[in-house]
Amino acid sequence: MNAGSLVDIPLAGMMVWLAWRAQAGPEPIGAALCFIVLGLLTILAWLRLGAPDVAIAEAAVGTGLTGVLLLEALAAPRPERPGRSTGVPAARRLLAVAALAGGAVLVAVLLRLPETSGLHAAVRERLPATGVSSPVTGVLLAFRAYDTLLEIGVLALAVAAGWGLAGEAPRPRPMSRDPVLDAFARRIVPLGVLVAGYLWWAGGSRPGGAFQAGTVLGVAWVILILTGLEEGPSPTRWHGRALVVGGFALFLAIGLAGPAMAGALLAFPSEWSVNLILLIEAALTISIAACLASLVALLMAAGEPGAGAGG
Amino acid sequence: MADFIAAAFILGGCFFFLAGTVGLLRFPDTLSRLHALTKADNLGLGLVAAGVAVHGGDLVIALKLLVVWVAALAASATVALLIGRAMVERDEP
Repeated sequence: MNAGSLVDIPLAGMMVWLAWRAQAGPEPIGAALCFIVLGLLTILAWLRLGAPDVAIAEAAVGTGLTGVLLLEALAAPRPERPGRSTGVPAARRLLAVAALAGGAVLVAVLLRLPETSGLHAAVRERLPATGVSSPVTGVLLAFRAYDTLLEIGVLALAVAAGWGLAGEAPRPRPMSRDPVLDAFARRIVPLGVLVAGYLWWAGGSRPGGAFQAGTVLGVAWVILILTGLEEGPSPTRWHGRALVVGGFALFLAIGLAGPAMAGALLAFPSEWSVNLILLIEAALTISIAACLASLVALLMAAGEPGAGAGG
Repeated sequence: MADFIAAAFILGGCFFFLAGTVGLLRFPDTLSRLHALTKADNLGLGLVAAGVAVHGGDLVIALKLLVVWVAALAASATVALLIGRAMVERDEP
């Protein structure tokens, strides 16, 4: 047993325990907190696996933003539904069976994986054509661009669905203005914007990129919404909608220009490749931030007394 | 020598984290638990950051760690104040 496994084995054990507590706990608030702590440990796990890109994304999305979303969802009043309490255990049992079956399939697949060195060599060989030097960014924006395109599309769709369900423009409750909270927000938000800008730029050559940068920017926006200094993107104004769909639209437009410019859908002409990737990443960063801020604003509006049905 | 100083800082930081955690679990009411958490964890994080900065031996890394520590200090002070106030408002409506 080496020094590494002294860290890894307790880490894995705690993660399994927290995952169990997150779904088996009697109280929703305890389950949410276990889930947030599970996210923190997941950051460490990704770092132990040598994947700093995923660790940064997990830090921003998994603990920062998901935590806010879960706590806001818990603060929202739950609609009373008669007969619901009898339906839940059956659904839970079904979910447990499905999760166990999925886990078993994953383990079986992992055990039967052929010996391979992965795709490192193939990525490294073709990376110069993209103009970026970070293999993760090369894969996400060039080799597997359709996947990233669909991800930002799903995010924009989720916001559109939320806006549709909310019925009217969501108006988050302004928190009681607090001088200390205001002072904190006014100092920490510029720092967040700076970090987001750095992560966007760093994505070209080292760990970072649009999803990490967008989430940090989104969390800075969420702090402004929570303190009542700013509102989320407005669904009734053109610029609010443009912020949410802009990243998807620009990515799609450049991707559709691919056949004429570079001979394939979602392909970039090699001399502009790095500029196009950074441009798309900038638009993605802003759209991801706007989508995440919209989702939090929607949940906060649903938590208000007298909010529209469904929420 | 640098490794020894770094280890001393990090171990000192771990001690404060441990003390803060024990306080969080053992203290009887919310305000004392907040006290344990913010005071001990701020000091603990500062010592661990100082130890890592000595270990890294790079001024830029040390400055980044300083920014992280100051941001964590500001966040924990603000959150402690908000929780404390919510607590007082709940008890004395």
